Amino acid sequence: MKNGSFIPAAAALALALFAAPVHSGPPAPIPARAGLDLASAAAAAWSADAQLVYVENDEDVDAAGGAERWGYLFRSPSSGRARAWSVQGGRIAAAENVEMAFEAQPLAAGWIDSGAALAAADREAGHAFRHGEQGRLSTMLLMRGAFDESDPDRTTWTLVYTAPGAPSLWVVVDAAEGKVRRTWRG
Amino acid sequence: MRTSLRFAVAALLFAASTAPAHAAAPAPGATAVRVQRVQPDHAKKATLRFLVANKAYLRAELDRLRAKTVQVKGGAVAIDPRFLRYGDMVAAARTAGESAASADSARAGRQLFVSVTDLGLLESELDQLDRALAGQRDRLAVLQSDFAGDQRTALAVVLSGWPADGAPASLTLSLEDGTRESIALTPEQLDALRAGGAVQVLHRLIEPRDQSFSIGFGAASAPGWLELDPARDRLNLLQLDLSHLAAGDATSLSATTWVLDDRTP
Repeated sequence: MKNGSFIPAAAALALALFAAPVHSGPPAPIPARAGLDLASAAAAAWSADAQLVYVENDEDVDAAGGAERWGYLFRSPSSGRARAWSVQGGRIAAAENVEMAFEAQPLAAGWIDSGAALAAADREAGHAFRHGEQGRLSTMLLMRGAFDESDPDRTTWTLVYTAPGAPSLWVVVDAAEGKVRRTWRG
Repeated sequence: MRTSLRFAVAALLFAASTAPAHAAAPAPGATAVRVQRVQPDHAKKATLRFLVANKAYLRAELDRLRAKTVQVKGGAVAIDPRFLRYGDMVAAARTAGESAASADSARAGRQLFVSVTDLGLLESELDQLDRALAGQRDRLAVLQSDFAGDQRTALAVVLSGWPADGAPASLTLSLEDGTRESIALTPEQLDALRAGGAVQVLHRLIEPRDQSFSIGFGAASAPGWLELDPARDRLNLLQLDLSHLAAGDATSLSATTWVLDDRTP
């Protein structure tokens, strides 16, 4: 074989090896709304009157407000039961009944996505807490009627930043307007 | 010409009268489902950890706010214009049906077509029928786009086969969410199975995820576990062949699943 034909063949082989399908890694982080459609489809099969009452990150939230897995809690007013679905990589990774023992109110439609809520919370206090206290965002949750007693009908994102040896930082963001409504340490 | 017209009408009427039956036999792409004695074990991923850990705190938050009055808008909402249109569609369908019936009775009154003029009259009546059928087709297309096009994830369970010691009188399906579906087989369904037919015993929405559920044939017999990953927003069929069912032992079933392709061409 002449060198002239060997080199292109070797190059093609190397290219083919490098272009071989890569093993899929962990699913890409998604914003909270991205899994809602699938969770809602499951909830509709579970109960005709299922209402979304709560959203929480099931894996760590990244800097853009995405997480590999989000959990969605639905409640059926007629039966009083609640059931959660956890969505990861476009599939339902977990489903379980949840004993609530309280009446969570349905979330208002049109809530801002996790990325916008995180950006607002970081601007207000989260960024300073992370750098000043060596803290991290541990939880993002979306619900209605809690953490904002001045207007209990509002649907709000609540972000909990934690740091070793320091009180946690709580930031409540209005899920309709994207404005921070409360912050406190505790 | 007369013969061909009659043939065309007969073909149309036959086509209209035969509802599109869902195939009882598994589709070519059907896959076998293993029926196991024990529930398939999957690693469980935790969800809503903050909620679970702080349930009492969240409950206290909500209880604290319960006494407060909340202003809620109670105004009426607009009716979907599609629903208003259905009334007009029903009226149009009735009118078309009555016109066709009237033309049919007029034709029945005539004993014999004696002239080319009569044949022309017949063609005109057939044209009227064509228009009525076209109108029905359009109305069905509207309904299909409003409803059938909105297929959600559903499961239909179909039974077939007749066991040597007779078919069971009932079966129970238990889903992971705690739902139990108890199904009693009617005499007509049993007759159909005995004659080699297939019967649909369940059609319901199902969660679009990998899941297992149990099936049992009476309290005294052993249940079996099936694992299913239904295709989202499609009708998923599960056929249970009872031919080899022995003493109600569900693990002696053979099961296949496939997705019904009911999209309009």
